[in-house]
Amino acid sequence: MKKIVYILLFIIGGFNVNAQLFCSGQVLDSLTNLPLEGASIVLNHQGKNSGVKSDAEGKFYIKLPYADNAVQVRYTGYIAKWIYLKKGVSLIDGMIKMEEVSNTLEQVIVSTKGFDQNVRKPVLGANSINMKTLEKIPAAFGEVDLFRSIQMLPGVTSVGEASNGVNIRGGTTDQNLILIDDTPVFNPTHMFGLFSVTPPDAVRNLDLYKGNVPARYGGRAASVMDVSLLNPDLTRFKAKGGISLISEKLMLNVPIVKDRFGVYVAGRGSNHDVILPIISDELESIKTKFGELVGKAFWRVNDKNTFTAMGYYSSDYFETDLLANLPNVVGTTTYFQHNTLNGSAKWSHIFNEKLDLQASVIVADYKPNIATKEAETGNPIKLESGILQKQIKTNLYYQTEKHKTEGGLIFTNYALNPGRLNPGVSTSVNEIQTPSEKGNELAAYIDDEFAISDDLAISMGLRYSYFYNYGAAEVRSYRVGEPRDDFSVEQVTSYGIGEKIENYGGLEPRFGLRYSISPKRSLKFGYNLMRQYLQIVSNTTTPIPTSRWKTVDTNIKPQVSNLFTAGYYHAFEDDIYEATLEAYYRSTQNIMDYKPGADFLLQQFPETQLVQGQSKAYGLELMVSKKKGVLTGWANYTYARTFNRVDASVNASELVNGGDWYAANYDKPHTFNTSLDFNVDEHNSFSFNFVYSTGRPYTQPVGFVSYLNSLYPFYDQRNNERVPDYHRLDFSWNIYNPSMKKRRWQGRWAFSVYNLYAHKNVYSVYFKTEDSQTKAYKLQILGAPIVSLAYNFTFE
Amino acid sequence: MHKIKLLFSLLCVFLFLTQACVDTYSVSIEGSKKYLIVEGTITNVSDQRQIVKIFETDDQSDFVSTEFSKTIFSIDNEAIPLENIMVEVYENESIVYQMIEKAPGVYEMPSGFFAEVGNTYQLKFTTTDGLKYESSVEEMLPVAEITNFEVKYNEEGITKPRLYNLKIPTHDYYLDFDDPAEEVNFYSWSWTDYEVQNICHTCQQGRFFTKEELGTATGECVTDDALHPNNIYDYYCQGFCWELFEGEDIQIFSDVFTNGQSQKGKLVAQVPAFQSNSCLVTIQQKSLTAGAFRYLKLIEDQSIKSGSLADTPPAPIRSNVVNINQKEELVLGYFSASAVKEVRHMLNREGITGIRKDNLFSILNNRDPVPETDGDFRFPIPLAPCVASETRTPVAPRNWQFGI
Repeated sequence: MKKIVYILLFIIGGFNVNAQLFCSGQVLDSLTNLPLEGASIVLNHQGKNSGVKSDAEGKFYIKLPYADNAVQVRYTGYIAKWIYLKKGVSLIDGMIKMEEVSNTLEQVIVSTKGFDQNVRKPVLGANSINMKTLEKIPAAFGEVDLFRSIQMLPGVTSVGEASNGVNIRGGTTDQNLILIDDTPVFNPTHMFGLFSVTPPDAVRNLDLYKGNVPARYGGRAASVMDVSLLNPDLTRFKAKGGISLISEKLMLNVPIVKDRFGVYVAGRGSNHDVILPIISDELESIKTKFGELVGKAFWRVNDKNTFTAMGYYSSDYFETDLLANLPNVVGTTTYFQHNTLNGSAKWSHIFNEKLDLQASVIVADYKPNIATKEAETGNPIKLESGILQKQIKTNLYYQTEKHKTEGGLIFTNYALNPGRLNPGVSTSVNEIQTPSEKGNELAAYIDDEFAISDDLAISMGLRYSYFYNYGAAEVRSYRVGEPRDDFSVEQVTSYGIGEKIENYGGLEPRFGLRYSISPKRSLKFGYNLMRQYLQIVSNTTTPIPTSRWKTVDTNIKPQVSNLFTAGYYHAFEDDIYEATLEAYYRSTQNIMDYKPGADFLLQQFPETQLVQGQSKAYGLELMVSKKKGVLTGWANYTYARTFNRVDASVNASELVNGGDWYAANYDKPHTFNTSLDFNVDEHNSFSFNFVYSTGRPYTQPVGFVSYLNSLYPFYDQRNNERVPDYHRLDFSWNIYNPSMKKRRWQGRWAFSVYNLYAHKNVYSVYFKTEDSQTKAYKLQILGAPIVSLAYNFTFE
Repeated sequence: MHKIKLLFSLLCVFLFLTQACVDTYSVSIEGSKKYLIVEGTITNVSDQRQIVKIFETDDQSDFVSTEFSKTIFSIDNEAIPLENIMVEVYENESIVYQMIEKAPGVYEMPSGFFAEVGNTYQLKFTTTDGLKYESSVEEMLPVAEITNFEVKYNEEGITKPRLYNLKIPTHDYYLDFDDPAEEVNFYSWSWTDYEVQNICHTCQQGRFFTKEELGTATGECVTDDALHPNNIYDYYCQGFCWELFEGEDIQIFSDVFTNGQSQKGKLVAQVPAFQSNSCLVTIQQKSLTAGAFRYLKLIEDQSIKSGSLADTPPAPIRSNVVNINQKEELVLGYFSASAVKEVRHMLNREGITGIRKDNLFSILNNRDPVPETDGDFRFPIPLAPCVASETRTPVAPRNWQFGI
């Protein structure tokens, strides 16, 4: 359904053909009056589209030809609006109020980021997913979940339901840069992968870059997941909240000075473990709590300057005697705990309608620890670790008719505590501190999107990054041709405090090209190079919250990834349907792999446990989506492969699979996802998800040997078998405003069933020897249908 | 209703933490390659046989999960011994000891050999195909004294699937030791339980005759067609006989976090209370080299501690024995040297209710013994000798105390 809005106010008439005609204004949410940043303002003249994007304040400016003009204003999740201007008429400072899709039957779903549709932007592999879409996707336990939902998109997979992160186009979980309002997140999930750490009420949308990554982003090799939080509403008090079987959440928005200064706080907490012993005695020993709290303040100093400050805290506590203790410590119960405290402050200044500047200061403090309690005293022996990242960055944005240009500088400081064993009051364990790691990263970038002609557009980005680590540190060098261990040390060099140790750097070109075959069909090509200086070193199938992060150093080289992409895009039937086909090839140098039996706990020289190698990934992603109407949704099929090779070492014991290519843990060749939503009426919608993928690889023994009267498996080639295929159907029924009255209090019920037909998907297959018998087992995380009911409300 | 739904959902959330979401999985693994297995530890215990076993796996052996219990087994999982090969142990890389083959594939150090702490040992052998193998040079590192031990009766005990899933109470041994501060130490523990056995032979549809009666090298069962095919007779032992039970768990420890500290209450053995007779329990605390510790740790991680949410993908566990001409060949097993400190404890089980005297045979066979009855056929009924084997000995173990 199209709504036609005639804007009569502010129109100045004029038939002077010599004056420059234009259309300017501000795009706002119709209910909240919040500015909508990044709305597309598209002009269709003589069958060709041109357009601009609204700025952080929702403002835009577009030149008009001397003709009858039709300008369309679009924003994901909102109903598009048309502005019709007669020949020679300009629009000055129009207020364009956009109505959210959820209030109508029409909706827009996952779409490409940018001022124009998939077909026109010279960028590949970029998706934007907004909160409205997320809320409708059937969720496990009724918790709206960002990272579980994006796995419905092509090219995004994981090792299974308990995976602590996602794998994007053959990348490992730590190759994704995850940002919450510009601040990095090092552990994206609660409870070992079951829930995302994003506070659902405060999230505005998620931009996912898995192909072309704008040059302003860097530091990770595979992709960027940029989660933007809402800005405080400066006009009125608002409350939002909800309750599900897992958690309670609440958000309060208070405009302190109307139209000038506002704040909100949003939180979610889960503390439902008190019920566990009622369910089963076995669960009595489990204690789990998690939650997040986010606060944001927005100050509009004047029309040219704004300040934003954001604070984010996330906490997770998980205790059980069902998990392995800290090795080599005598104790009973073990708990995991991780806290994140992030903060940012941002100043935006608008010089004129073409040029604006942002400057921000960012701090991220991630502190995971694992502790084992001693049996008699209950004293916890803690292994504490942490990452403290500080960042300063500036960004200039300049826009003309043909160019959109941005450039900036970023300085980042990293301080890592790889591990401290804190014995508490224990007399049988020593205090051990692994030396901290420190490094600085400098980056400068420039990005330009240039419409050469109506048919041809390019985006060119160039980033230069430079990393160095500094002391105090002791750095080993090893004899060439021997395995790196304590016995092949050639020399140990001591570096003083602040003394530079090793540096790496290089250019990171980013390139995209779009050629339009017709207004609704285009071909695109892209190339990306990314460098990664900070990574997880962990040899588990999925990193655990306490997995160790490590900067590059003298012995560990940065990961460098080259990505080539090509795509075909086709929109048809008035943009209701869209089909995209993307192909990619990615090659990564210096990936991390591990020697058999690698142990990173309190390891001062992790290079003795690591081997570096290469990775190659390629795939084909086909996606068809229907964006408007009673039935909306998408279906996609992906063929993707990821292989690793570790062949650099001369020592046979350090080669994996004899130096041959082997399938990565998350290599799943065939994936089919579909997500459909039926908007029955304005109060009811039904959604379905169906997911199928090839089972992931695991390592099956090649035989068994007897030792101490028990049969133990022995292994030869890694990832030589696959677990059974994965498939699942989910369902949800959303009931909006059941009272059917326009009131300030609006409720929404979400009833969902995750894994409707109770397929016992296999997470892992493993072999275990107990009491001299060996059996193979399959571990299933969510083997039953999970029925849940959640209630959410808004009060405005 | 709402409460039930709430409980159900919460249960599901936490199911993944329990065993409820774990099922057995059927596998069928076809053997395709032969792998050499070398296993042996030189110790400084004077009355312990110093042996090295050299076998190879059968490339024809297939491993399948059983229909009912899903236990993995092989119909023909007989490792093939490497016989008649020259096996040498180099002490301090200079003194060479020729090992003597005592049974197929089982090689023993010559009598008179005694290992000492601080010496190094290296295994070298050449197969009949001319392939040369060498182990790394392993030093016998010192091991800390056991300063104290404590035995606690554990009524809950353990369940033994191999013994008909019987739940058996245990005596749990806890050790204290002082870790030396000067060096890095790796430990392992093993234990042996010597139980009195009084049934030494069983005949099905037959009767036992001694070697004197038969004039043969050993006594044996002689089939008697007059007996029902399912008829079983059990024969008492001639003289004393001890059955040996060894701890089957891998128990290792590193002092990486605890260097120089006193360690208290380390559980090292759970000895099943098979019968109310006294038994001798020996516990060995052994030093390990870093390589041997790493080897055992990998077995532990991959076979015992597996099944967590974030397992380490299994990897080949390479032996320290390598084919010197083809180093990438995957060899299994480990050759090492360990210094040993021992506790030998006569465990008195008097006063423990629920266990019977002379019950070992019954508990191992899930039936009471059926002795041949006097008079019908012959008198007296012969006694069977206690034949020494890997699990049985007629010689009283050191420190055995009669009359307890």
